[in-house]
Amino acid sequence: MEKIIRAMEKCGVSTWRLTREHTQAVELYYIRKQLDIPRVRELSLVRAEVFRDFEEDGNKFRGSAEIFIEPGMTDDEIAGRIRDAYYAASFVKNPFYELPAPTADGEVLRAGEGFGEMTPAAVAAAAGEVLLSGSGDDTAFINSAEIFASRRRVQIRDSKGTNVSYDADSLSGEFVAQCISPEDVEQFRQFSYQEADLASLREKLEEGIRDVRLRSQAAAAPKTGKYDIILTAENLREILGFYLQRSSSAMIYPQYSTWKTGDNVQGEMGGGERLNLTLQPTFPCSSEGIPLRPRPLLEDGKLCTIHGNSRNAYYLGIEPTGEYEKLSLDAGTLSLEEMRRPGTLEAVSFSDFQMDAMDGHFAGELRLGLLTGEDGKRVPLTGGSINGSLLDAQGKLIFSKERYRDSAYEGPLAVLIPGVTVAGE
Amino acid sequence: MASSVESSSFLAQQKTALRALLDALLERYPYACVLASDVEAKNYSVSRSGIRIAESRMFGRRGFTARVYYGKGLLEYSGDRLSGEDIPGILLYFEKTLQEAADISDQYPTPVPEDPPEVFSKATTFETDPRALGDGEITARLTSVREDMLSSQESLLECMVRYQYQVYHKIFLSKNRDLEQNVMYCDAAVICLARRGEQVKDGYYSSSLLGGAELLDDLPRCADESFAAVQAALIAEPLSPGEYDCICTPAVTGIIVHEAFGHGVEMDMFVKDRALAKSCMGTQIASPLVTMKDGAATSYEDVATYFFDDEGNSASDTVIIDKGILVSGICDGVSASRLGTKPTGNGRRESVDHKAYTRMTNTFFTEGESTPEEMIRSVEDGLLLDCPTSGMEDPKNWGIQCMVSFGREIKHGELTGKVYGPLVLTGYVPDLLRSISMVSDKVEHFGAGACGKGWKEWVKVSDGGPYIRARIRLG
Repeated sequence: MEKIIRAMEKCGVSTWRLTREHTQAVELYYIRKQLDIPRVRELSLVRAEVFRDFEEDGNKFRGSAEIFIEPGMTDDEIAGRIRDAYYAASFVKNPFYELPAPTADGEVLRAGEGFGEMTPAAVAAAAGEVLLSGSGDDTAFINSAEIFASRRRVQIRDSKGTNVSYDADSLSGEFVAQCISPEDVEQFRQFSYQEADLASLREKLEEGIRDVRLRSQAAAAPKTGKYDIILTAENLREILGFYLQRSSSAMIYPQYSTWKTGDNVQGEMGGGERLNLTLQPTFPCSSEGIPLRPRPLLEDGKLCTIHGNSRNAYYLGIEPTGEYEKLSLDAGTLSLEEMRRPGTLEAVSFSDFQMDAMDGHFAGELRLGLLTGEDGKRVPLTGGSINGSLLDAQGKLIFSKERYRDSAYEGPLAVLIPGVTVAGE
Repeated sequence: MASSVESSSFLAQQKTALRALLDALLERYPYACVLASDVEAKNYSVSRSGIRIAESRMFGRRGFTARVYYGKGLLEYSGDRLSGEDIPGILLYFEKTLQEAADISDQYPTPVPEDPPEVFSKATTFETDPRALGDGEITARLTSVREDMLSSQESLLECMVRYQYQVYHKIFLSKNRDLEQNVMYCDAAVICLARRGEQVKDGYYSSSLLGGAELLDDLPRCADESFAAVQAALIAEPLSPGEYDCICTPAVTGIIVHEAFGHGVEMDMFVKDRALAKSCMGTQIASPLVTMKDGAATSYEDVATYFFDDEGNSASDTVIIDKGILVSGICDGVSASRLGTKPTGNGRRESVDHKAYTRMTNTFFTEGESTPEEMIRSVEDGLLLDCPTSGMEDPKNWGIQCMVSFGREIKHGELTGKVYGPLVLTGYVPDLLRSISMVSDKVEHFGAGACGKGWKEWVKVSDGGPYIRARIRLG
């Protein structure tokens, strides 16, 4: 970094930000219980943001351009790229804004608990052992899996004096559970933890095996009509992403979202629970080095915080909070069993469930659903699609008492949404 | 006049060190290869949020991957530091970290990779070099398109305009191969936004090509198409779920080709028994009107055109469905060796630091004989589907999930002006493909998006085809 900073000075660039990432990772790919290929990655990259201030017709502008400085670049190459970026920034006529106040920490911070003393190689191997020791059998088993264990050191410096570093460990990946009888089917699952959370991985694998057995028994799609729908885990987080996106300064400054703090963004209640959402830090600081801490997002359905980077915050005249990706939700009045009333359709998995923050629609094709019959038994179904509007449904949401946690969400495991359109048989 | 993309001076300087690494690996292992890349990629965007000029490393970066066969299987190391003094450390990764990882369980049986002799250096061409055109001119062109649209259509909330180019250079070295390729592609898109109550509706249209900044000339057309799309989305009403006679625009055909069927013939899925297509080779899978192709060497050049893949296998032009009969999948090199077949040059990595998988390239249905006007006239009661937004594969069970922004109502062979949306296309892939009853006489293809394997491993692809008429379940 020192070499790049010297080059900035030499090129006459007085305002800049550098973000260096160094990643060491071990990747294991499995086909059934055999290793497909092991891989190691060790890479570094510096993202350099070059700012240029100028005036036109009495208006102040701050342009910027982003470049990457990669290992192996010579001093001349680095200086040439910085000069090009500084020139490019003169065409970026964005209104002036301040960079965030400087933050500096002497020590290297840590995102989450991390791997502790374990190396990425050891974590990957341990995750592989969990995979190999799963409870599958000849009928239902793990078809294939990918395990990624990485350790990333991030350092952020800028010309105002920010200098922060943190380590972020990650155990993530995906697996496909297959059941070959009565129908040959599969279920896809992803996992992502900031620590070597082998217990959660084991649980996820067991759920995958359980769900694929159910999927194998699913013979039909639900009948077309309106259903009370239960969404769980990642799909519930996808729904809540609507509030995260619409409250971001990146959507509010360009007026894609009209939300203001204090607005009752959940709207009129229709028998549901008031939303109390909290922004949770995934990393110790934002991409600009702004320290991240838990912040209330919604309190009883009212918007408390507009979050985002320093540029949009400056334009909106609000505090720059940094960007957030993780939410926690304080809610839950019914048990999952209480939610499973006759006629309720629990959507266990989709091919790809999506929440559109722009227009408020959510939709997905159902890979596995469980329809509770009048006798209380749950019938597995597959096919058809769910299509609803959160703007219509948000006053009716009921959350479960059971909890769920992953790298992007902590809160109730399930939400009950009444009267959602299902296109099926 | 067209110019060829130049070689990378960085890779030229690195070649001695790459060769030294390869030689050191070949002393220890029966097979080794090295793939190295250098990338220049820049994104430009103009919107209410401001102007942005930023380099991108989404589809590539400077670095290398070394692969060896150690007797039982393959090991890979990806890095970005390579000089003579780095080689002992890289060898240690192979001998210790990777070997220890390989020893924790059995290896999937893998033959020694084939290494047919081949030496070449090839490049694509372009009309206008975006690097020479300059950041100022590109930004001005984008700004002009945006301002023209917003000044003529005051009802719009937004008109975002973006353009990106990528110039990549790759060299592949093995005992018998010494390959180099230099490629430039570009894509651009215009997104119009308009408000309807609390909803913000969007219209999207894109363009792409294997070439340079000449693509900027297509931006005004993209803006007009994008505006037409948002106008339709604004008046779209919910549709009663059910099966409908549909005409799909080439963009919707493309997403059906790619998501509903293309992923299902990626043959690394055959190795894992994850693809129903494996058991359907030689069978009638689609209407006899349907012929489907994929290839980095196909005549429909676009963003996924190249000369060799990320395992050093030559690009090809693969017929997947021939007049309705499934005749071939597409295959990377490792999967081909495991399946006892030939690779089709579809082994692709998101970047040199990612694993190679079987991936699509330029994928499309070929043209038929009808005109779009004839096709619309043939529909008594149905929809013209347009503006795809996303899709998801299901190779195992051939379930369809494709989302489109809207469908325009057709009654008695004419568009009524009514619009329904957003829509989810579902159903069973072969049912849809067998129901295709008309195919138009011109193919269009789109390469502004990216393709993931599941939810990651993004690579540039193009997809498309003609207008098709089919029976589709809509929600």
